[in-house]
Amino acid sequence: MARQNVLSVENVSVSFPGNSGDLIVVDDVSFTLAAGESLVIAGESGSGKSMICQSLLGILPPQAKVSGTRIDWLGRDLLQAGDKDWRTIRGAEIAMIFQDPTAALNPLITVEHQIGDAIRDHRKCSRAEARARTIEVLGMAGFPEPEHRMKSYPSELSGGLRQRVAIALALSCGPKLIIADEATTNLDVSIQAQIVTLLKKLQQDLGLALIFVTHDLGLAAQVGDNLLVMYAGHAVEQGGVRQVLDDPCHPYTRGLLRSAPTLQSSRANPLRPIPGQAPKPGSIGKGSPFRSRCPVVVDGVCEVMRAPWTNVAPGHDVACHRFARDGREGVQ
Amino acid sequence: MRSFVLRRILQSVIIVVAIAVTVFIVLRLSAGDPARIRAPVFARPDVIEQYRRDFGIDRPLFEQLLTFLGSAVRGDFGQSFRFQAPVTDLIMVALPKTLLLAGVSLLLSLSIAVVLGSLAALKPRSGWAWMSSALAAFGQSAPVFWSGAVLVLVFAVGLRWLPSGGFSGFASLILPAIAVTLSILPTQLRVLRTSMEAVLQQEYIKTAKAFGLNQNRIIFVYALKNACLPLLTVIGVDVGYLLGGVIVAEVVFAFPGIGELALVALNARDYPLIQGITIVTAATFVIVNLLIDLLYVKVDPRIRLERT
Repeated sequence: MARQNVLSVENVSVSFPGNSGDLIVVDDVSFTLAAGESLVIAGESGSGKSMICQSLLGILPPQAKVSGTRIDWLGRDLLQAGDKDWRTIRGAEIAMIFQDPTAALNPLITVEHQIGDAIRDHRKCSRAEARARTIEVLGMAGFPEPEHRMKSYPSELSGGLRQRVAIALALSCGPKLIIADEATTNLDVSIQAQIVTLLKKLQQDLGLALIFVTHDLGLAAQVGDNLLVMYAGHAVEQGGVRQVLDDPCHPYTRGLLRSAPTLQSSRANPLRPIPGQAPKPGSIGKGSPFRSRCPVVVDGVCEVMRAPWTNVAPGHDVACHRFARDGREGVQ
Repeated sequence: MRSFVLRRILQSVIIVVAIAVTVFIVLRLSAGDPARIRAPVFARPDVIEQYRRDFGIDRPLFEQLLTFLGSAVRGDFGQSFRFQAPVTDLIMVALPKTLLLAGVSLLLSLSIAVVLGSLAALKPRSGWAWMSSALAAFGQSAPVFWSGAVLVLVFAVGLRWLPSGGFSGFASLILPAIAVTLSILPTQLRVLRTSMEAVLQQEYIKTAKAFGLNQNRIIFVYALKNACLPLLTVIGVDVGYLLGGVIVAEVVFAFPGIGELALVALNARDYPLIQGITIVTAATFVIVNLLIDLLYVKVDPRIRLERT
């Protein structure tokens, strides 16, 4: 069953002006997302995953430059969107859940008003209608006793409840796509599981498209249909979540999986972190972004050119010179 | 809440009493004898002694202090040496005018700080930002007595638009209010601009933007509310500066308020009047700060009175 694509990001780059030329933080990234589908974007901090998300809402810092072929959102090109277009898109069509609910909610405004204001700025409706909708979305987000507790200020709520408020806010104007940018990173593990389950359930019940940004591949397996692995601003591997996690083909994806703690980790079977550090933006040049830490560099190739996408299996691609040359055995 | 208010009121009372005692002692330590100043130049010693008895300054210091505190509690600051009238009555005539001048100046200053500071923060490369910096630098470097005199020269003596002094209705307020505003505006303007700049970088402003909220609502409600918190603190501190500025302005513009009265009282070593004015001014300062603390609690839900 082929579903209609709602979002199609084509060759998008994001850069910031720097002292010695532009610093590229997202380099030529493409992906698509179908209605009701979820995509996990995984990578470590600084890999450009948040930048990609912010470019979908036009909320990058003003000095950032976004370029590319097209960001197609329901037939419109977001790269060309003006203020008026953004006003109808932000919140109402694409909503975002931020990493830190404490920072993302205004400390001086009650939950009721923060959600109510968003509703009333998008729909011409009365205060009473906005209030009813506020109670409804808070209920959907699993916020207890919404009629009563929505009068609270964010500081009066626990971290988990704040994130539920942020989710309710995201749901409030009936968006078709929700972007959860590290939405569970700052939460306790038990709350994290609740929030992930809630997001997954809301996505299925409401038929939402979901982009879930995380550095935790364990979460990726629970949430996503598809997985995009990013490294230093580059997409390095993409495919179905199970495909990629069961058969990781990029040395970086493999390294990331090996360095994540599991219940099987022990002294005899220790974590194996990826040596070295991610390159700074601007220091990558023409070659493969992972070459400085890669255990299976192809000499004379990885330094000089980007790896082309190689098809691993239907719907599963990897950008790696070693894989392109030697196949799976090459990256073992 | 109630216990907080009671505690703060009690603290305020202690502060005012301490100030009353201090001013009493400092006045007696300072040079100048009110009886000699009041009496004719070549008065005989027994005439001067008579004035001393009339003023009650022949009594032992401790007794004078107790009499003073005892009647001050009942709102009676005694009889003015200079004017031969109850200090309370004199203050009651002058105080409303001073409060009016201070209030108008504060309001003017806050309005300019909020509007200009916000604009400067929003558009850091615009004419507004330049104007805000220029006004702050000018206000900071121009003392009230100087800017007051310049205002009089230009608008009263030169252009003859406004009265140069005295009090004859609203027009008399304009020049002194501008002079005082110039002196208290720089701090408020800088604080608001800086805090607005910081608030605009906050995640919650990005969130509001990401949810497509109305631009005006984002700036004037979501951002300004947060940016005004530091301004509130500054007002509390500034009240002292404001009252000082008002006193100087009153002298420059011969504005019949507390400040002018204070100058006359000081020159005459009019102990009761000086004490009365000091206490009333100190009380005003303390009350305004108390109100600001309460306002803080009202505006910022993160502040818990019980813990303070």
